[in-house]
Amino acid sequence: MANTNYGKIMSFLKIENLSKHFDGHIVLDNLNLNIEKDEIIALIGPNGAGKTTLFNIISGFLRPDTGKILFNGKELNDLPPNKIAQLGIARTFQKVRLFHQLTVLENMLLATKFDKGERLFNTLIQDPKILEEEKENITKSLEYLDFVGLSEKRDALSENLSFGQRKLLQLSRALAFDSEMILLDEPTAGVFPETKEKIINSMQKLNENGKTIIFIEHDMELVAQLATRIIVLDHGKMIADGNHDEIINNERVLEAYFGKRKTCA
Amino acid sequence: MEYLFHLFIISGIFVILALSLNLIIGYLGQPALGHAAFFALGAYSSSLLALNLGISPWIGLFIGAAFAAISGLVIGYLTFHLNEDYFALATFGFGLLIYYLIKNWVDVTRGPMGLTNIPQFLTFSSNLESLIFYCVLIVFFILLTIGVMKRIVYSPLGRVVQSIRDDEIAAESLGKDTRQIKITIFMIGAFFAGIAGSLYAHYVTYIDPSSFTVMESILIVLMVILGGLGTIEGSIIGAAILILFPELLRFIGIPSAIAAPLRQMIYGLMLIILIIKRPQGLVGKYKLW
Amino acid sequence: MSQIVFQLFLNSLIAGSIYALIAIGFAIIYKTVKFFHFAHGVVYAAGAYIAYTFFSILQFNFVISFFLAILLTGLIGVGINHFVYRTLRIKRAPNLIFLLASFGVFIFIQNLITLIYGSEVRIMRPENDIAIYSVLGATITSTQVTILAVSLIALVLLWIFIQKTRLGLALRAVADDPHAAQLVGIDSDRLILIAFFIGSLLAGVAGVLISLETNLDPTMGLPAILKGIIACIIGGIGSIPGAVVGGFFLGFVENFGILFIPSIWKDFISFIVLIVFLIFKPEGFFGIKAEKELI
Repeated sequence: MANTNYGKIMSFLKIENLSKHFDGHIVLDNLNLNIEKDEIIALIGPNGAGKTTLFNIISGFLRPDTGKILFNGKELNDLPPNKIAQLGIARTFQKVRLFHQLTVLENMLLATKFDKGERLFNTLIQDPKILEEEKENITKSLEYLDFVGLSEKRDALSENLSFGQRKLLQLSRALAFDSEMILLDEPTAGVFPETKEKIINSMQKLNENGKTIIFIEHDMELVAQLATRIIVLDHGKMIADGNHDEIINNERVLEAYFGKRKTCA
Repeated sequence: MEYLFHLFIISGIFVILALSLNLIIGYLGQPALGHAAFFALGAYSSSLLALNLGISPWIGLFIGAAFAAISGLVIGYLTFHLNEDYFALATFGFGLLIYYLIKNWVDVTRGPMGLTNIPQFLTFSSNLESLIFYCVLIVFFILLTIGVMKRIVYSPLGRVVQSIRDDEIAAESLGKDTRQIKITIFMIGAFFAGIAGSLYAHYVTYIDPSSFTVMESILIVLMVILGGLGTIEGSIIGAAILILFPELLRFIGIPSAIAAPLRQMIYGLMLIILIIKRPQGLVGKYKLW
Repeated sequence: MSQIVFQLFLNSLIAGSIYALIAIGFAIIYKTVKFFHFAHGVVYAAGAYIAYTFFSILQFNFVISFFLAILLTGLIGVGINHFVYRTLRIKRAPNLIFLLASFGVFIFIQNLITLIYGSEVRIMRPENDIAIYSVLGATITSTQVTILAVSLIALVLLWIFIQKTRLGLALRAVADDPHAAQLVGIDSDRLILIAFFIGSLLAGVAGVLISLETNLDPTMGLPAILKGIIACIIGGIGSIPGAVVGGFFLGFVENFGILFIPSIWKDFISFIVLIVFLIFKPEGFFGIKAEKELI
């Protein structure tokens, strides 16, 4: 079968003419983006700019009104969220979503691969491979928990963790999912500096391991520290796309954040 | 003495019902309020197969349960995309629908007159022997139900099931096919309710729609909530208490015209108080909310 | 033929008006509390039995019995909210829990009625001479005229209340903005109380009216609330005009439906309608989403 894309550089994630509105209110306005592998992209913009909505559409929890999303050439538009996740996109949520009546370790295990363990037939016949999978996955999960300092809490119910610990767990869980691309929605919002450090370390480690990261942030220092590229959204439109120096002096960006006033940088 | 065996058997049937519903409500976290429908489908299909086609109850048992499971598949498929409240109403409505069906489809089910002379699993010369056999049979099926439940629940699959209860969206973001799992668990719960139905029908040998009303569905829900979500002991305790308690009322000598509504009033009150004061039930592992 | 059609039309109006009353009371409550107050059905039944108590047992004048009954029914609704729902609201329970508690209330009150009045049916007939009128070849009794008239008056009064008063405005707005009550200077707890009073009062009206035509039995609440909920789903849950439309729509479908299927299956019609709407158009005619909120 002739591969018509042979020779063309395919974007890792391609967003074409994406629009979305809620109740007549435009949330995303004809957005076009190309994201390449191994980038660490900060998605910034004032509140209500459409950042989380964009995440929701990419990860399949919302359908766009118009436009397409292509991941590794594959169209994501009509796929359910779990299929999109399986294709290699993990995400975290602004409002931390943990399995609150399960333990920290169980939360982690849910991110790991259980080819046999999650099938009914194998479960009913007690396929010994399941035990093997479980052992491997526990080891893997503990490694991730160790890296963020949550190993001691492995058997604690996740609803009993502190806020910072919950954010760490959500992040670790997404990491353990081991996908090519990961979307982080305000990963450091509301956490103490020590926790922030751990989160930054995790994100750096992620990228070293060849993962592409898009993260929504309001903390500009963090953005400066981590991002290789910054995309700025305002009222659903992309108003700037570049590196840190380009963005920080960009008129439109300043206007979006501070209104039509010049402030000293 | 024989009466105690009878109570044990009836309690046992409801233990199976409570266990099967606990899988759906306690572990999967889906508010299925029409479980008596599967109970009825198992009972009626097994009985009709035996009465009209001469099929042995031993086989009818599994066919009835399978039929209940298939209904679970259909209903699950049609309703799992709805939000919680609508799902609760839809399953409640399904329970009511099945009740109306067996009450009005007189040509097949003889409606309110019910089905009589339903063949038993085995015949015995004495009533006592029959009762003892049934007790053993019930215990066997309770253990089977518990066995299957434990296998599912204490496994990676069981973890996924519970993740759906706790946060379905997060589960989806981790690649879990929540729709398929919900339907599968729903079918398993329906299957065992169907088994309970057959066991019931071939024991009492007479069934009519009055055993399969919405009150029965709510009663089973109450058993699960009373005992506590997500524990096997909870379902057993809940079922036992709610079956044996009315017997206590009768024992004290309250006339049945008063005992029946009084009993239901207490159920209603229990439901409210449990919800407000003790959402984890007596020995529950998970809280209703 | 046209006589039959007109007869069915009249029957549809009568049934529809009762369903609309039940549905609109339910919808008003739903708008303020956002969960299915299933016990609304048993409030309807209570209304009927209270009227029966005043009129048939205590021999009060019928009109007085009617007003006393609907007022007390309104208070019952307020009581349910105060003792059960408010407690849960303070604890911030999820919607489903309110629905379950509502079932508990339903079971409790229905059986209380059974305990007090027994499970045999009761009959309440205020008129000894029932006049029968013939309209365009169809017949309608004076009782039915009363039912229709009172329902329509109630619906009109309600419409005026909703459209023209501050409270009504708050009620309409509260679905879109939970703080709407405060915007017109009403505290939201109070708005909920008023919604329960009015909604339950309307259920009481429906209960008393239906008892003029049919017998009272303690289980009358279940089919009533089901029809009410179905009507609201058809019209679009949370929509007050939708409840009225849904109620009449259901009345028409049920009564004209018997042209096509045997009348024993009449109750099934409402189920089929419900299932069709749930599967294909869960937001009803004026709808609000019934599918799961994805995020």
